[in-house]
Amino acid sequence: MTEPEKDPLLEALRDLPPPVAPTDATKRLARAAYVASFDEGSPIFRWARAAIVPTVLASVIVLYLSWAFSAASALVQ
Amino acid sequence: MDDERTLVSALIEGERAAFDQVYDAYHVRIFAFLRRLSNRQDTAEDLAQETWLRFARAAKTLRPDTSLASFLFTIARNAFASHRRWAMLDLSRLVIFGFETTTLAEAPDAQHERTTEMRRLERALATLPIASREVLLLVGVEGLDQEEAAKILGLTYEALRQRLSRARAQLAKKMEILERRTTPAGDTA
Repeated sequence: MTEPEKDPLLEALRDLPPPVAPTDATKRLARAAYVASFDEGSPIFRWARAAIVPTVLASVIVLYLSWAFSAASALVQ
Repeated sequence: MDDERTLVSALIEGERAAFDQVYDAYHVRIFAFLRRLSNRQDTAEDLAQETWLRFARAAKTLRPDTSLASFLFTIARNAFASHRRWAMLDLSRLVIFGFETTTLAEAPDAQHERTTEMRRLERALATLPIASREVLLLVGVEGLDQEEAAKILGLTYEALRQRLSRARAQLAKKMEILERRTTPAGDTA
């Protein structure tokens, strides 16, 4: 770890009073989001939900390729 | 450090008290960082909210050795960077961006009883380019370790030191200009 900067200008910056920050609404929202992030069902369900889109995409691609391949072979014959 | 590890472990476990503790410890710092970075109260409020929401959603995926300050300031900085990219695409907001620094710098700050020196410092900081401002905010105002600040800004340690030194020189110059501007007025008063 490095030494903190010993500089009067930087130290003066450290003494600047913080602006007035809003508290309640943000805290309530953030806490609700935090709690909700732990209530998203079982890991298996979450995994299944995340796997749906890639699986469907992969199936469509495989189906299309097999159709294209069979059509090409039919044309060749 | 051990306290932070305990706090992070509790966060990963889903303890609400741990979340509240982190929020209470950092919300003023995060807001102040965003307020000074954006130079706007409303933008800072939105970005602070976004930062905390992102943090809340990511909390359970934290590593036990995560530095909360680094993590939170990185989210806040990324939120600001993405806001700025969108603002650049929007011409009307681009105009606001051009004027906002001046607006803040000229505004009388009646909320706090600050010394002239503090006000001058705040004004000088507000007029610096964002790249300089963010490094001064992290190292100067927040007192973060330079290696930590380099990580947050995605810079090497050496690059951070150079940027800090440049930013410091810019700030000193701005302070000098502001001092020169205010001195004659002070003499005549």
